[in-house]
Amino acid sequence: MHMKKSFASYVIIKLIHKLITLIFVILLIYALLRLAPGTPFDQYLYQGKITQEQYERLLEEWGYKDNFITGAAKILYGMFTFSLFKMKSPVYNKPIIDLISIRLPYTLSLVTAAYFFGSMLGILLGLYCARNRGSLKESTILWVVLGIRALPVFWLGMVLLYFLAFKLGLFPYLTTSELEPQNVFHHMIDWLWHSFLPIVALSKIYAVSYLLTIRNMVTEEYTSDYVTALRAIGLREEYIVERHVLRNIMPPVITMMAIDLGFLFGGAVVTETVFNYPGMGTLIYEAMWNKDYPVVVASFYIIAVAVIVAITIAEITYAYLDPRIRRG
Amino acid sequence: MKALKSVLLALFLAGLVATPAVLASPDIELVLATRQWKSFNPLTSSTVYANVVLDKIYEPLIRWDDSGFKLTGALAEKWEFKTEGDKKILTFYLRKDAKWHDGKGVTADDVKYTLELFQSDPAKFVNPDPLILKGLKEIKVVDKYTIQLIYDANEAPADTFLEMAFTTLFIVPKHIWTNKSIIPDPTASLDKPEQLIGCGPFKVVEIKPDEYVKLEAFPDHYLGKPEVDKVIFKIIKDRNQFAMMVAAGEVDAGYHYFFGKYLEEFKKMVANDPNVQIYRTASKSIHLLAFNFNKGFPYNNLEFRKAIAYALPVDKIVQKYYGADGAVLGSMGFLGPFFGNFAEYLPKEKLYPYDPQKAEQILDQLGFKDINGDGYRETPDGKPFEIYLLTRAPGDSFFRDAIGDEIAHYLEEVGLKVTVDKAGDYWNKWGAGSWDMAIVGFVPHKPTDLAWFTTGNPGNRVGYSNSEFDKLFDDFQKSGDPKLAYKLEETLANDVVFIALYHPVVATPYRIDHYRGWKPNPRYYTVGYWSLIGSPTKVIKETQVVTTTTKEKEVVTTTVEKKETVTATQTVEKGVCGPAALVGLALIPLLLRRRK
Repeated sequence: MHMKKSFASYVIIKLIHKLITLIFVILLIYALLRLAPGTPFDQYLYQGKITQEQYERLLEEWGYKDNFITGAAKILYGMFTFSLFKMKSPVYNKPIIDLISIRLPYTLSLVTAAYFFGSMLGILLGLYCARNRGSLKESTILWVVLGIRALPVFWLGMVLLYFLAFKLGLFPYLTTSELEPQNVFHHMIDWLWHSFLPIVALSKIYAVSYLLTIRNMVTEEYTSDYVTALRAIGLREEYIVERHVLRNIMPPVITMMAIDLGFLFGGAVVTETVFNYPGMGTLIYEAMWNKDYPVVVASFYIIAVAVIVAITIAEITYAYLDPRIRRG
Repeated sequence: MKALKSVLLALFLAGLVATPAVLASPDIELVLATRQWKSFNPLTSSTVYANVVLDKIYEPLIRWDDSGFKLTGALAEKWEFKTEGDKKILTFYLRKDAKWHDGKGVTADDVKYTLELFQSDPAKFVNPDPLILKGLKEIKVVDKYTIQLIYDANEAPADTFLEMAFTTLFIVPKHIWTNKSIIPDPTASLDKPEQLIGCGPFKVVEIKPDEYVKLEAFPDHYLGKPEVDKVIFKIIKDRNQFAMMVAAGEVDAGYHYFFGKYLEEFKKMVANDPNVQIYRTASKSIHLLAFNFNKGFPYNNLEFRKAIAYALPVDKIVQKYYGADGAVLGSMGFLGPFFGNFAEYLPKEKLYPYDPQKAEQILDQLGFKDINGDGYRETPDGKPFEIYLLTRAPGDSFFRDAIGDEIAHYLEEVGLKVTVDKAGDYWNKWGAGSWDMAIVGFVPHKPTDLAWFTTGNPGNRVGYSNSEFDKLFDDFQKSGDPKLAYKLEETLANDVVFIALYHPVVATPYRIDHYRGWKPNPRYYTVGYWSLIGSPTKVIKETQVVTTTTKEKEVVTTTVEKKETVTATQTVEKGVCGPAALVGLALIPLLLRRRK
């Protein structure tokens, strides 16, 4: 009973922390947007499409003249009442929910695919490297992987397109498909084929970091006494890895995976832009470019909530599994 | 063996059945590229990337003809200007055969509705030229196909500028736009085919924001069915991706262009492909070195600006990046060759030739001298002097970063210290006016964009002010006289308001294996209205313009690099049944021989 009570209070405290974090993140984003000069209407003014008076009216109407406190209060109110998504974008003149609802599924599918592909590849290669520590195979994999890690996504994207699409003709140039899907399976395959290159580009970030982390952790476990003891009693290597080594390293890996979810969204912005992928990343990029504050804030709100929820679930799971954590 | 024979026979018969159908009327389907737009709405879109598509869906009253330099009737069969006292009356006589994509006829009510909607909030309907509304007092429907616009003659712009302005106003269907269940907000971006009912040569079949728009030929268009049957405009943001897709035959043409070394690389990429042609034309844009008059001395000093002009060998700098034919060297006036007889060519090297000694002499006279011996001149009152030169981030646009370095180098040769800011947030800094000198690209769309140099104009970011220029501009806007444009250009040149660098000559590729009816012109390059119409089934009627019309302009530096002589419009079928029949025919004798 006592344990349950302390666990509940741990969860409540964590949730309050996360709420404060969320408010802070949104305010920070709004402040950064306010610091950057420019509005979506500047170019109309410069091109002589609108008069100075009309420009002033547009600024007033769309809240670009609000002081920071008023603007932030509107955003926070919108955030808690979810009316943020009903606000209109001054660029598209449409409710934000209409813009996001079309693009979010694209990003979620890209991020999910890249996340699984990248983490699985990283974990498998990490285990392989740990088991072949010091060999030529390991050092080759490490060299290649570190080289790939150093490549910026926009460059890698272009190289992938050049070789795999243009030179070899294996993949399409654009991530969008115009085919009418015949069934779910056909749709999945078509989507995977079209999205393969951005998935590869995005997943490299995770594959590399997982590979290095898993390799180091497994190597450390391998040198511990209990593994030597297990080997001494004649257990198979696979059994030792699956039943003992992996179990021991899983909690930090789960935490890492949860935290990485946030970086995935960040990486998606660049990757989507490079590959013309019609997701949230493209929307955010365009919105930033156009100074479309409501869209940027609402998009980051979704990302921040997703990341915070993922981290909170990881922390709570971790605390549930390991009581030492919640005792601080 | 019997089974195999039956299969082959079936294949052969299928081929025979299918082949005549393919040869009889092959559909021309084109894949074209555009770039990311902000919103997709004929009245609120402000980007050329949306307009290049909307231009095929909607019709204005007047449009540019296939040369891109002469006006012709679109929905208006003819129009006339009349002056009655202090009223200028513009009457449009509409075509009676124009139909909306849903079959309803286009009437004067639709035109009136569009104009009134635009008039209701010109700050939101930013696609049409606001000159249309300047001095507009009344809109009168005379009959179903005649509409009169009554202007205050003292306020209205010149007839020729009004005609040009009307090319930007796409007419929308009143019955669709007033139906709230279809278009709840006429200012919003439209993304459903039922919202995008126009009367242009193509109708919208499908639209996916950020991805593509599928269009289909509208058989009831007033010019007849366009030659191209289907078009898909795909959003391709990156120039390299576009280059690869054209080279691979995945895209036929697009609103992307190459220049300088990018063009050379692209040419190498398609060197062995006879189906790729390149259209080259002088771009509307002018790239110039601007002085910030708002910063005060020395940038507002004519002699200082002249010194800078003498210090720079513009020809040499530009040719280093563009080669001998990659750019039209800038006119010290503003309007480039695109503007035909409104542009007077005043090359910088003629007016202010490269003469570093003269530059140094002027700077000495102004009191800019190197007092402390560090190699750089100080201000006349002995303070350190440094020019903050704003330019674009590397790779951003038209080599402006590299040209910024060159300019800094030549200015340092005459003892001026320069800090080059290759800003990623260029536009913010430009708008904020925090720079001393800037390399900037202007894209004038019409001769009256010379207004950007009038006192207090929001587009006048350089802060130039000359009452004589303002007065001349007013006269020019009201008269439309090209001679006044020359005078304006000469004033700019005499005042060295900026140092002209170049008008880029852009090059855009297009493929001729699926379609040969391309009619490129400088407005939308290869993907303009007339390019996709090809040779429509009806003969284009002669347009009657009763009073003022613009004269035909001279086409300057517009060429098509032909790698193959195009003689007639031909199409290449994409069907698979034809090849299947050929395979069937080839295999049957082989099969029979084996049996023997």
